[in-house]
Amino acid sequence: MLAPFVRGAPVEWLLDPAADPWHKTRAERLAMTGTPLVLQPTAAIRAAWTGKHIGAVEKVEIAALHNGEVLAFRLEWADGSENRDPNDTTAFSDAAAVLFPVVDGAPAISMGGPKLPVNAWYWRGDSDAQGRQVVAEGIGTSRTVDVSLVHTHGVWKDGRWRVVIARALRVQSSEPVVQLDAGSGAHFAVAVWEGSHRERGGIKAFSGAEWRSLSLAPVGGKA
Amino acid sequence: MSKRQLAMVFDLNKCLGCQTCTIACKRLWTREEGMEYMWWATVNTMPGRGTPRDWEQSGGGFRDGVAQAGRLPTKEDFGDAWEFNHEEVFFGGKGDSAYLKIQGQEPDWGPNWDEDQGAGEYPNSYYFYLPRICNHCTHPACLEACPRKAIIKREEDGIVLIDEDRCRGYRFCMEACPYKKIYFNQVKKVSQKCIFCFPRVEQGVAPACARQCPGRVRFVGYKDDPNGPIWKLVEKWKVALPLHPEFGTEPNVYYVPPLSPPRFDAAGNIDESKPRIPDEYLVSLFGPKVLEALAVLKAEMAKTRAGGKSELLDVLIAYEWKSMFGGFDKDPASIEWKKV
Amino acid sequence: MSPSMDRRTFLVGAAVGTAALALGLWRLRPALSGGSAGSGAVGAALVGAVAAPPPYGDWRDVYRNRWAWDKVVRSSHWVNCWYQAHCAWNVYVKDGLVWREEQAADYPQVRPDVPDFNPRGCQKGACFSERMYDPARVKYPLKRVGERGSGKWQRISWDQALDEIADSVIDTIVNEGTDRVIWDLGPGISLGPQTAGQGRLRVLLDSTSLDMNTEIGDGHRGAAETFGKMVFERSADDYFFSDLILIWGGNPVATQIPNAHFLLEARYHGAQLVCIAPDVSPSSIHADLWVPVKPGGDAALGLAVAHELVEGRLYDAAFVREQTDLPLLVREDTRRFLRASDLESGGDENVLYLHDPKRGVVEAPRRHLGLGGLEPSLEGRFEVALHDGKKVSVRPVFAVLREHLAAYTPEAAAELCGTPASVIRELAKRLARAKSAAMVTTSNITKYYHGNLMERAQALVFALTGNFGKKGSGFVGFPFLMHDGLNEFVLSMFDLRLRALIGAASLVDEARLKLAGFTDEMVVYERSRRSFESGQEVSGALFWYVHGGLLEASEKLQDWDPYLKRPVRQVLDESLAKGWQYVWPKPGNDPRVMFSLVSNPLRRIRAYPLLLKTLWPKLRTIVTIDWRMTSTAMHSDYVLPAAGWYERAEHKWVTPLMPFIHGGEKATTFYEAKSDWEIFARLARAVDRRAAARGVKAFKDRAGRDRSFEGLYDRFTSNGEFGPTDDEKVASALLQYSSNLEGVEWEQLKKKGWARFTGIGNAIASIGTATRIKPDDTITPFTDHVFEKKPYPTLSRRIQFYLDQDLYLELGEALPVHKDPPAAGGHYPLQLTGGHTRWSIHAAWRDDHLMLRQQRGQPVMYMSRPDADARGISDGARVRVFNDLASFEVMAKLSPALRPGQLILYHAWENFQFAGGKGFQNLIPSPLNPVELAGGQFHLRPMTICLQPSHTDRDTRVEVERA
Repeated sequence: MLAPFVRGAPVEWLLDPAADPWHKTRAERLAMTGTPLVLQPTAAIRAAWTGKHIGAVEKVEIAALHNGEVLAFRLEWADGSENRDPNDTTAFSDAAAVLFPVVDGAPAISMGGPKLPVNAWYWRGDSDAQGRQVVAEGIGTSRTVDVSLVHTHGVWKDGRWRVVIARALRVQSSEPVVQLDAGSGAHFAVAVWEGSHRERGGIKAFSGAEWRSLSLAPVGGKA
Repeated sequence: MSKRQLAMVFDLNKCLGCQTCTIACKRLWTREEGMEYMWWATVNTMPGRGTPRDWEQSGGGFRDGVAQAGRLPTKEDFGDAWEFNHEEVFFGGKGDSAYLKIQGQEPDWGPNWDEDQGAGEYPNSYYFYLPRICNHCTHPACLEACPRKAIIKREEDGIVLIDEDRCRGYRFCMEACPYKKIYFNQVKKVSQKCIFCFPRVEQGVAPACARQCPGRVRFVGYKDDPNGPIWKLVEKWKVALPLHPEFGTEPNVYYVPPLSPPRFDAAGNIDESKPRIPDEYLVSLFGPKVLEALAVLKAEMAKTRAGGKSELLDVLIAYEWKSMFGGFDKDPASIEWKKV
Repeated sequence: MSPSMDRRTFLVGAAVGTAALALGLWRLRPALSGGSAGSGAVGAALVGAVAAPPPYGDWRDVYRNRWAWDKVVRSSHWVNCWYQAHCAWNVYVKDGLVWREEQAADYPQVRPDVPDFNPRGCQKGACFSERMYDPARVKYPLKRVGERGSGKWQRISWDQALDEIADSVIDTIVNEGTDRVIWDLGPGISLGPQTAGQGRLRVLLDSTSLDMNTEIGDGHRGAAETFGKMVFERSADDYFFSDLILIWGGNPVATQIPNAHFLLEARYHGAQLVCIAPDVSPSSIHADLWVPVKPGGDAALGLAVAHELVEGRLYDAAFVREQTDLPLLVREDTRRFLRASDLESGGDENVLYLHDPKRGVVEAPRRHLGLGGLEPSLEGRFEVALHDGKKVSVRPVFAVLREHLAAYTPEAAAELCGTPASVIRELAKRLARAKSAAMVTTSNITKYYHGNLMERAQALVFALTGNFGKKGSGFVGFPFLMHDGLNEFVLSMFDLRLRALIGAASLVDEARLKLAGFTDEMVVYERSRRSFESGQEVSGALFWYVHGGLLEASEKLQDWDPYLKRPVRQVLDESLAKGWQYVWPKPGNDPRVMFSLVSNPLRRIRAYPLLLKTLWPKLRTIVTIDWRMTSTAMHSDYVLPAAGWYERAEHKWVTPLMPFIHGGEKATTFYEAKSDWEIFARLARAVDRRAAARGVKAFKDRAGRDRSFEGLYDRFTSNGEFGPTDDEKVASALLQYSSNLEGVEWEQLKKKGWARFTGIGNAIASIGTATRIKPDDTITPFTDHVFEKKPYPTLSRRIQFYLDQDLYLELGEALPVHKDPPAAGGHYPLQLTGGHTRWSIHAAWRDDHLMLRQQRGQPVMYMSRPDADARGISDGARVRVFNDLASFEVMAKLSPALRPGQLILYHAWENFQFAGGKGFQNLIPSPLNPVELAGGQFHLRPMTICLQPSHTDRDTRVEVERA
């Protein structure tokens, strides 16, 4: 997938999924799959989800672009219900994330592994504007490393979520987070949680075991 | 396993159902935004549906060591924090046409909805009060269910805590806890529960629910302290038993099971052939050992009734209130805090 | 309850901050508790001196910091918790606001072999810090601007409010009489600094103060009829010496929360706990034996037990002979006691006789209970010659009683009371076997129309078994223990010369009474009786019946009460005409001004709609002084904000159950609320100033003497010694004037929170316990009578079961008898009873949202399953309850614990918690029982808190249908 360069587009603008540049950016369709039961990190979760369908969202349309400083993804999927603030103990937010390997060989399917960190940029409907940057080194190890560097915004309309997740290409961090450059390539994966299906944590739809390729257009390229 | 384990024993024969524990906890810990509906400490009339509603049939815990699927209770099952229209009634200028009402939809459940109802048929009706907090289990289903390792069991005292910095509000712990003593904070988006008043315990002060209990129901202390009340009641006298041991989590809250007055036969005569609270019901709550525990209790009571002495009953009487707290008996008001 | 005006009052009567809280604080609740977790550095990071919690490191420090405070103040809840009074609390203050409270729990152990009193408290006290900031609080003086009850208010200044009220008071007392100004004192009465101002102002203005104890239904008439007094109680730790404890008519597990552990621990110590109640109550479930009884069947039950004790010769004959009237002789012709006036012309009406096998018919000892070698006959029939030569036959009361009890075999009684005969026998056996049997205090039975008969039967059971005076023994009346300095303090406002005169007159009077054989206790009661005669004290119950229009609800009483021989109105007229009972103002003189001081008559009084219909139109000015909005405040003309419990310096009465006076400091302020002392001081000043400004110089008191308005304020303040904000000086002076708090100083009390009483003192509210208070022992009532042989303050000077006053003979109640409850409210199938609630003290927490959340958020009525099934009513259904008087709607709560035929609606719901404002009391007629109009005889004359007519509710009949 190509992330074109858009000159001078402020982040605030990019965070609007209906903003002009997104109309001009070609989206790819990703087929999603539920995370396997056996890979769920705890026996209680496995017990609770035995025999239940995992991965309610089956496809996501994804596009990406950058302005030389910030890389933004726009995810779109069909969802009959807007689940933001959980208004009950049994209600969960819709959520989405883009995942990157931080080092070569970090597996996507198991959220990285020991000394093989992965980095997620995470959006959740109940805290729409406050994206999280997450690092994981294997199942059950994910930890939030900051709540300030990832910018997010989602709009639910007519049965579809349109969510933008963005972060500076390079960030100051002592944590193993991904550093990107315009004009170079990267790998990513996508996860979506369907709140009304009580998906959270490892219970989610995932773009698959294989990383997807992303190439960031060089600065100065045509919009 | 923690090095040591703090525990409590609740003597159901002294429980008044007064809910002072409930309120003491509420006023200390669950008054923040997002916590309004929470009652970390509850007392329910048993038999009953309890708090949250039907918690005993909610699954979770372990069977033969294997984690079981559990149900997530709704806010209505817990009972919501009802709002009332005091301003309208007192100052709204509406006279008798306005009266004090729960605003919004009329609820059909609350944390103490079935107070004093119980079961059986008059005159052989029966009930008792069952206070509950987080059991700070030795084998905590919540801890094991959490995919984020956000729940810890402290080495030094076995208190089970939810790390609110790590918790992401997934509520797998709520599902897994067979006692349903975990709440979800919608504002902070984290799960929260009884913390065994660890800030008090760290200062040598008993938890608020125990120290404020006017019925003197709650014994506190380390399980392995042979001079403390817990060891005497649980290990030595074996009159205190965990609730629903079959849930497999090895709770660290123990109960002295309830006695009951004799029942009556069809002619109205006192009938001592069977107890008012059916044995099978108590066995279903506390396991088969409950019958031995009751037998010990009755035998000791027969001794004092005959003018004799009983070490067990002296412990339960607690001549000196402070003796209930296994050394955690510091007066909180004696602590002086300095602003920094 | 009015303050006991025992010290010379009758003679005197004849002779003379808020800046921090500018906004609705309750909305700020979440901000009060120390910052929100997760926000980084939390509030003021606090470090403990003991083991410092660090500044925010992780989420754990949020909790550590939340549990921290700026200062701790001792206080308590200065409400009439009665049996539960009181508990020492530490009030934790943060940022100038009360953050939370926790029991101080530092009472000493009185004896090593009994449990200590810690940690007294309850769920209500544990959330007052929340209640004090909730929307029920009154923040400013309010004046009604719409119709009464419309809820339309205007905020006015204190000066405006007090000037307008003062003008109304001046107009009334000058133009119509001092007795037209009524003081209705409610459950917020501390008899400490809070009440001292009202006491002074009332005496200065000669107004009418209502004694509301019998109106509440706490009159314990049966105890007063039997013992000549109703106040006598043990300390709660004294139960540790009992081997049998009867919870008979009460529910201490729910309503004596801080005391209940003593009962349950006494059970572990070897006592048997027996609970006698219609329902499987919260107390029944903890009993070794629960004895079911029909509501109102307790007299039959007690008499059947007495039958077993007498017929089985299981009674304590020595006790009966010495301490009771059972050996006294009764004439068979008149059914009256044989009196000296029968035997000699001009003989004493109050001298009675017994028969000794050796000495024949002799005068019963009156100054001392000791029999001095007599062995009075309990059986037999003797002939006596009267002074007119007529020969009559006399019998000991015991013999009459024995014959009377023949109707109460267990089988016969079972029909009346619903308790199986075998259970009655078992109860009698256990009582006979007990070494020390005690009863748990309760004010339930006294709220039955025939409650006096039930109490007399209970007392009989305990007297037959000699269960008085021994540690851990005894039937108990009513618990009350107060310092005895209040009246001295009130009267100390008069100058020394006047007080010396009063004192001298009083001493002469007392000497005369003592010469006549009066004990100290009797002298105190005699003073009270004179203040009833002179109108210094007035029966609240009778006031509401006569002036409040309540008697209208008793019109059908002859239809409801089959034992009644004539209209109760006729008995009332006779009683007032003969001076058996008194009412002020005199009938026909309408009350004009009413002050309700932390009182709530429209919530409290049964059939209250009659007050709105009859009394309210007569009243020119209605003032409620309270810290919260109440049903009565909503129908008042002015509502004055009183300081809440943590907002004033206070000390308060308790009961022997918990024999420690409690006191505390002011922890904070609230809007414009003022302490009661300050309110009364400022009202006194307003009356003084307004009278001067209007040129009104004097008024006549009810004795017709002139009194001056001039200097009224100076007198009130003792010439400036006790100014409006000198609450603490008042608190201190009250202690100084007290004889039963030796060595107790205010400066220590306010910091410590409690001090043990050193004696029962001389206050009318306490003296009846008739015993000593030792620092290192439990308290057992009646040791003065049982061991020191001091006579009881009754006609017979003994525990008296036989009453030969006219009305008792007319109604067949000379001896305790079972009477079926009247069908109060009409002949409907269900009996609506009540009881104190676990969830509130009176109505003070009834609308508190935390308490409501632990219930169902609204009033509920307990109903048995069979009754509900028969009417198609399910749990939680809304039902209509009705009878001949009125109706109301409520949620039904079905419980198998309830006895079929009985409904329980625990008390003190506010009227504004029911649809249409129709509270449950609106259909409770509280019929006036004519026997309670008795008087004249020595101990049946009205006195403070008892022997006045009472209000009752437990007999109410209703039908229920789905709403």
